[in-house]
Amino acid sequence: MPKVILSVDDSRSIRQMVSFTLTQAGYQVLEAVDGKDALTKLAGAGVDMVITDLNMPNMNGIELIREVRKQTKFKFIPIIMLTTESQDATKQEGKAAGATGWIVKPFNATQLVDVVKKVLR
Amino acid sequence: MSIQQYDGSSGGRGSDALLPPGVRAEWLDGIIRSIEELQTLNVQTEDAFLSVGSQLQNIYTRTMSISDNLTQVMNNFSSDGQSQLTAKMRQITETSARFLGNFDTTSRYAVDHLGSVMQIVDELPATLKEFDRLVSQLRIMGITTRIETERLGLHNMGFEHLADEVTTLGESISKKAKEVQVSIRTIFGFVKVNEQNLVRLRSKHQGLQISVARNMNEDLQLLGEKHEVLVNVVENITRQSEDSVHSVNTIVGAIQFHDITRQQIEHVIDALKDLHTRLTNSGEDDPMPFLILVCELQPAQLQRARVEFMNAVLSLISSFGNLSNTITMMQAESREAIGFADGDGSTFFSVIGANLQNVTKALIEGEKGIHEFLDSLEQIEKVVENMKTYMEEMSEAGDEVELLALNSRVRAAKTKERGAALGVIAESIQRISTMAEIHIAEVVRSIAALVEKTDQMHELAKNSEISRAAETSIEDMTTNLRVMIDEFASSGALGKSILEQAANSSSILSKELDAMAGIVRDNRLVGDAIERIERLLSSIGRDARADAPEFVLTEVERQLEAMNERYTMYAERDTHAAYVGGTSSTVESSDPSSGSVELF
Repeated sequence: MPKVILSVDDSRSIRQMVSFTLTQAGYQVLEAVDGKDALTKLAGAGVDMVITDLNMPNMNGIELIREVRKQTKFKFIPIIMLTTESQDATKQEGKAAGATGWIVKPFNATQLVDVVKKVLR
Repeated sequence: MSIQQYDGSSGGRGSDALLPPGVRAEWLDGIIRSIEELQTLNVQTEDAFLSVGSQLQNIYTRTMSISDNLTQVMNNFSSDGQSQLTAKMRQITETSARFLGNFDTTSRYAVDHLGSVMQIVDELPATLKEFDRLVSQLRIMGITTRIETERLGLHNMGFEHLADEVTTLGESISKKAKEVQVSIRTIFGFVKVNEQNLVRLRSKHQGLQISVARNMNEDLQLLGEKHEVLVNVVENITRQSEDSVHSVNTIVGAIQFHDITRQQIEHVIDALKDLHTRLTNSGEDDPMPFLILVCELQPAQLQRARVEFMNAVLSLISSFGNLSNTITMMQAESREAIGFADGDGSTFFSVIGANLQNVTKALIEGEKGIHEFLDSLEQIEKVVENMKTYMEEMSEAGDEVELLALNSRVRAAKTKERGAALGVIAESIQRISTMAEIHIAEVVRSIAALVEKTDQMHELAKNSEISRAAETSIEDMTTNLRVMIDEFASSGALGKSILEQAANSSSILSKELDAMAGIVRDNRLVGDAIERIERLLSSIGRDARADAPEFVLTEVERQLEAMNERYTMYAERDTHAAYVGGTSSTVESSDPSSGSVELF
């Protein structure tokens, strides 16, 4: 069974590229358009990892992480932030919320797959 | 952030509404037009790039499939199995060459021996002719004996019987001599046929020997070289496949870059919408400082987005081209590696297969030739045996004649002077008989020589390697050769088929890449449109600044600081910093931390 990764981004293009990259690497990818949508999708599927954007309507990436970490069963699920934001202060905010790692857009396909492999090992 | 078509009237007042002091209606119109145009452009380009993205999966799959298929066929040709096949072919080449060489030696000796047999057979008719002469003399002697017996009136003394016996024995010798002659003709025929066959086969085998030695060794050398080439091609295809993956990854990056520029433009749209709201809603704040700020700073943001957008477009077009070229190169290399003789459509492997077929045929013919030769030798041996019998019978007849002659001489002696003539006749008959014995001995000697020669030929042929191996080795070799021919043929056919599939797939891929490049290329016009908006906003900013009093410009500086805090993207912060530093028009650098990974 392939591992399931939830890609959360309000940009269709980014979701498309994340999905394409990870599907090639043998993962199954689910998509959510914002934090709220992600919470719904997380509840209904056996997700092994979350890759989320930071700035999104309805619920941003950091809020999403906080909500996810509140749930016991997702306490240790890997969550990677994938965002154009690269400021240290924001990164620290994400880390404090419970993010596993931070990738600055645009991502390198090989690197993304390497990170996913690493955190899912 | 979602994109919605901007409704210019949503602020409550249009361009013809009462505007705050200093604000021109044309500026408001320009701002509304810019918002609408930017929104439209964003939607259009996003759709275009999404369309490219959606085909990426298909392109990747097709590219990898072409690469995998080509690698598979190259691997098939350069695999261990093929190396073993080459080793087997080398072994068969050596054995075949030895066998064919052995056949050549055997057949050469056989032809020499046949020449000797021919010489013996050629000499025999002359000897046999002597028998005719002797038989004729015997017949005359028989007649003379009768005449003399009658003339002398020596009846009932056995001379008539002598005459009859001499005639009969003479006829018997003549008959046997004729049978020997027939046998000789038979041997002559066999020898001739075998000589011709062997000469023909030898000449053919000499050609084949050269062909085996040259062609098969050349083929082996080529196979070795081809093997190396194929291994290199596999490595090249692997490298080119990695290049393809790199091109696809570049496309993934370019689409993301486009998305970043799309977000930058969205933020510009948001800033313009905010400005429009401030211009159309009466509030406490003077909108002029914000108008100047937005219309000066946002063109710089747009310029940056435009440059990055164009970079993404160029990167995509270049990646599509690279991908297409890589696939074409993969194909060309594979085709060249498999193809042997350009133009005739045959593959390297089919040519080797054809050469092997010739060897198989040569070995079978060689085996058949030796078998036929052995069969003929057996026939000759039978004929020679018959000849020996005939000669023994002739010898017996000669002995009888001699005894009769001796007997007649004794009887003649008894008749004293009266039968002296008959004694002379009997003496002559005895002499003829002696001559017959001499000739018979000569023929017997020739026959013995024939027997010796045929025995030697038999031994030679039977002991030749090709003959000894005929039942097992040649059969094994030809079976192996046929297996190899089949393997080469199927490898060639598989190669051709996969190359054709790859060619079709590449052709489709090439068209798809062209179509995608076309979609992306059409979006280059977006750059021109953005540039027009940049100029329009800059012109509004310039005019507003020219009209603005000092306190408004001071307020611009204050609001500049506040605006910096709203940015969420490096690109915007960087452009803002450049604007503050007065270098906004040259901003092109991208976020140095792009793609950086940090695991907590």
